[in-house]
This record gives sequence, structure tokens and C-alpha cells, in this order.
Amino acid sequence: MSAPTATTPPIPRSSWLTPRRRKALLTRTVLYLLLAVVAFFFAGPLYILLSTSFKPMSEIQAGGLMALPHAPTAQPWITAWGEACIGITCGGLKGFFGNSMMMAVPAVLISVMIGAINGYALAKWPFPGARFVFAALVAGNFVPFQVVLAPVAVTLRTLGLFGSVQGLILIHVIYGIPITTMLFRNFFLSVPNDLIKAARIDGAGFFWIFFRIVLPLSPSVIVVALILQFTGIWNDFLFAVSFSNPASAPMTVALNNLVNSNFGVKEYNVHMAATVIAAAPTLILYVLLGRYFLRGMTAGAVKG
Amino acid sequence: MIDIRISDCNKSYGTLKVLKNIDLEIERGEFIVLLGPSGCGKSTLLHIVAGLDRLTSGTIEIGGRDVTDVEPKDRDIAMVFQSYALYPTMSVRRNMEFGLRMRGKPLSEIRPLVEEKARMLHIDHLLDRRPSQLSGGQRQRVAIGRALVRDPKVFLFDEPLSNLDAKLRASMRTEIKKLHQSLGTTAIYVTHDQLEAMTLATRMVVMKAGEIQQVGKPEEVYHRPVNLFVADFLGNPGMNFMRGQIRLDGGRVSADVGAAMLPLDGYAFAMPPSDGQAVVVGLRPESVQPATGQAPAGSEPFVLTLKPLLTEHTGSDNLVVLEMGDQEIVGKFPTDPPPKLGEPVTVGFDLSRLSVFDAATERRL
Repeated sequence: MSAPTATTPPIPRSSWLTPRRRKALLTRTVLYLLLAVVAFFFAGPLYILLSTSFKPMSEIQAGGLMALPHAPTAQPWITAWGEACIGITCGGLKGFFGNSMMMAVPAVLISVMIGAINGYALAKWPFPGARFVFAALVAGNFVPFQVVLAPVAVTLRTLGLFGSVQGLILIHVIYGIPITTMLFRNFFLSVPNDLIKAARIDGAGFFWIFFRIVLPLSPSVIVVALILQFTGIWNDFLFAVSFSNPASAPMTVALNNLVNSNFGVKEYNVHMAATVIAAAPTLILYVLLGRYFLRGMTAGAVKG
Repeated sequence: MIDIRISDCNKSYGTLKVLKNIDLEIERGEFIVLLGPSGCGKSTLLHIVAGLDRLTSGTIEIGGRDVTDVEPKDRDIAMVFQSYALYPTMSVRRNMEFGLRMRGKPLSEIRPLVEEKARMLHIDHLLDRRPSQLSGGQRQRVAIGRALVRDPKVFLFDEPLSNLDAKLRASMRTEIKKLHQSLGTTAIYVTHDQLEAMTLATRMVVMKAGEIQQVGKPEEVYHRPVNLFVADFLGNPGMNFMRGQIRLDGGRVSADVGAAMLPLDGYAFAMPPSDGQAVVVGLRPESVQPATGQAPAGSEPFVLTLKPLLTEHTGSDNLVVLEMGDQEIVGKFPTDPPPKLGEPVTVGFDLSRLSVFDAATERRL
């Protein structure tokens, strides 16, 4: 199409910026500007968080929110981790970080495992009423958590789990199952039925097929479920603040208590360090597994 | 010796009946092909024999044992799927080993078996590859190999060649036939490809809408179809059908198809025809050829002078559309000399190949 014909004079070499190219360049410039603004919007707070967390209080009180620390100090981090007073104890966040880990890791693993098995059963072993079960689970995704607070409180008290990490694990597992089930079920629908049939003829049973054939096909959806569940459970505040006591409180509750304590000078540097500590596990998970996350999210879209 | 007995088998999904009163007995060593248009229930029947689908009523016996409620793995069968259904995360070797491993056979016994079958199918150099690294033909070989290793009582094939291109399909077809001849294992093979059915089957089963239409040797089903559906379904190009009436005239029987009276004296009627009975007379294109002056052995020569309307050159033959009164029939003519359009030619009919159907019941007379 660029070949000049007899009727249209050839475009002079000097004007390389043809209207078409000019338009493309303009689009691109606008696009990158927009991306820069968005990036700044997201990265800005993180920058302030990090730089403030390394400043001594004197620098913070002097103002200059955007400035880098003049005399960087790790003291706020040490205080946040091991010395800050949260409620009546002054042991820093480390205990609560432990609580969060003790809560999130089992809750994530269990809810993902159950979701995977549920999804596999629903997608590949249709039983009478499977559609109803699935519809009920989908509806479960839309139950606002505020609605269930009181019944859950009663249930946990009856089970003797109120105020314990185990109680939180139970609740997070239960409320994680609908979303993980849906995720896995939709993914497993794309696994060919013939594979399951071939394996059944070969002599494999329900769980053999699941572990040996279906799961090895699903690393991407497993990663998606892990990230989704971990972020959700780690960042949960509502259940945490409702059903924990000072000894079993997870990070989110502790961070809130630390930042909102009303006596003494507000130690912004400590608060910032504490915030980064609270956000770190999910950030690290994204950095480590983000590639699989993206792949998993688009995998279903392309295959249909 | 009966190897598989399917008795009064019914299958419905809700109100939809996909199999209706299927009865079929399969002898040991037979190669049975289930043939029919899509949706005729042939795959469902195969899945029921495999145990992958439950039947609504009826019984299935394999090797004299009632397996109606037996799990697929305990039926001593192996199946080859259209989609190959190879386990994507396992190597070819692991794929072939899987069934025997699941049965707890020691690896020291499995290994030589797998290698022997792999050599047999010329896939021994592919054993350490993943299915995704193989071509379609290679994958299907692996799928067949996986079935062979198990040494089952029955092989089930569910349209195994449908995903392959025409040339590969033909060569795999030959190989499956060779395999069956050397192993002699009973096989049930589902296809909608009549060429596969004709070439592979020792007996074929033509199905339509959940019912068996005809069971028989391929040549028998081809030459003596029991009804219009089977006659029409088999053969490419399809059978010629001429509408007409039976004429009984002083002990002689003939069919009046308008442009001609076709003598039916040599025709083996299954039921006695009546005068004036409306019939459809079927004759395959290869039985409509230029007259050579001598009739095929055992039949009277019957010739007509017909006008060619159209020719289709297929490479090996000329398909010639001939005008026959107000009807048209297709003849299979040699390519040389090409018939001249509109110029009448003398055409010989091989009346020993005629099929006569009742126009109302569509059943063979």
C-alpha cells in the first residue's frame, strides 16, 4: 500500500512523520502519560510509606512529606516489630504477625483444597442436584458478611472457638469455599471429559484422577485461588475484629489498634513501618506468583 | 462363543430416549462397527458397554459375566477416544504404563510390555515425549498403544480416526485392521464414516434414532439393505431410487417405474408382492453402466437407452446423471470415452443388485 502509483506523487523522504505516524505517536504519548499518572497514583503512597518509615520523628515534624530521609534510621521498624505498645502490651506486632500467619496459612490451604475438590466434583462428576448445589454456592458469594456476624458469633461460642485463631480459620474456610469452588469448577469444565473417562477405564478412582490427572493440569488456577484467598484472609478486618480477642488478634486488628491509640505523640514513622509489615506478605506473594496469576486469569478467557 | 451380550438395553435422558430396546450379541474375535448419523445413539451404546454411562434398563454381559453394574475398570476393556485423551502431564511411557500401574502390576513387568507394544506401533522412539510434542497420528498410536498394553478382553473405539486428515486416516485404518487380525481381540468401533465401517467390520450395525436398523456383514448390508434408510445411508454416491408400482402379469413380476418395466423375476422377495403395490426400486450407481452386450453372470441382460444430462468426473470414474422418464438416475461410467451430453446411450442395468422397498413402510420386500 506504500508503493507509489502513477497518480499519487511519491511522499518526499524528509516528511517521515506522515499523518498516520503522527497520529500513532500522539496516541502513544497520551497513553504513556496516562500510565505514568496512574503509576504515580499507586506508587506515591508506597513511596511516602517507605520514606517516612525510615525517618526519625524530628524529620517528620519538620514537614517535607515527599522528602527522602536525611538521617535514615531503622528504629521505627524495630519499634513496630518488637516494642510498640498495642493495647496494654508493649511487644510490637510480631505476635500478631504470628497470629495472622497461623490463621491465614491453614485457612488458605484448606479453603483452596476444599474448593478444588468441590469444583472437580461439580464439573466432572455430575450428580443429581449438582446444579442446585452450584447455584447455592454462587449465591454464597453474594452474602454480605455483616449479615452473618451475629449467627457466626453464636456458632463460634457454641463450638468454644470464639476469640481463638481456630475460630477465625473456620470462618475464613467456610466463607472462602464458595469463591474457590466457583473458580475451580469453571476451570475444570475446560478439562476434557474424555480424560476422566480414559482414567476411569484405566482403573483410577475419584481422588486418583483428581491428584494425578486434574490437579497437575491446574497450576495456574491454583495460584489464582491461593493469591485471592491469601489476600482476602490476610487483609480481612471485619471477622478479625469481631471474633478475636487481644491474644488472638491478627495483624489488621493490631495495626488498627496501634494507629488509633490515643495517648502520647503519634509516631508516624512507626505506623508507616507497621503498615508496610502488614502489607508485606501479600506484596511478596504477588511478586513471586504474579506471573502465574495473570496467566491463570486469562487462561479461561482464551479457551472459552 | 458369545463375548458380549447386550439385552433389551434402553437409555433415556429425561424424556429423551436415546437407545430403544437394543439387542446385540457379539462373538469372540468379531470386529463390530456401529455406524449411523450423529445423534443415533452409537456413542452412547459404546459408553454403556464401557460402563461410563448407566443404562436405564437392560443388561450387559461381557465374557459371560453380567457387568451391568460393574465399574469400567473392572470390565476388562480398553478404550480409544476420538480426542485421544492422553494424560497431558505424563510422558508417553507413563501414559502407557498408567493402566497397569493402577492395577498394581510391578514395574519390572510393565516396562517390557510397554516397550514391546511401542515397538509394534512404531512409537518406541517417542516414549519419553509429552503428548503435546506429538503429531495427531502419533498421539492416536499412543492411545492405541495404551489400550494394547492392558491386553483387555474387548477394545472399544470411539471414532478414533475422525481427528486425522484423510491420508493418515486411511493408513491408520489399515493398521487397526492388521492389529485386529493379529490379536483377534473382540472390538467395537463407532464411526460415522461408512468407508471405515465397510473396510474394518466383520459385522456392522447400522443405527438410527436409538434403534438398530440392520446388523450384518458389510457386503450384505451394502447389497441387501433392509430398509430405505440403510440403503440411502450407505454408499457414495448414494443409491438410485425409482418410484413405481408392482405389476403382476401371468406369473411374471415387474416394477413399472414409468420410463421402463424392470423385470423382477430373479428377485428374492421376502414377502409376496401384490399388483399395484407402490414401491421404491433401488439400484446403486455401479450397477448402472454402459451396456457391454453381455449381462453379469446369472441375470438377464437389461438395457435401456437413456440421455445423459450431466457428468461429474471423480478421477477414477464419471458419474453420469441420466434422464429416465420424469426421474433421474446416476450411473458410474468409465472415464473413457466420456459420454456426450444429450446424446442417448445404451445403459445396462445389473438387476441382480436391485433392492425393492415398499413405498409406505420403507421396508425391503
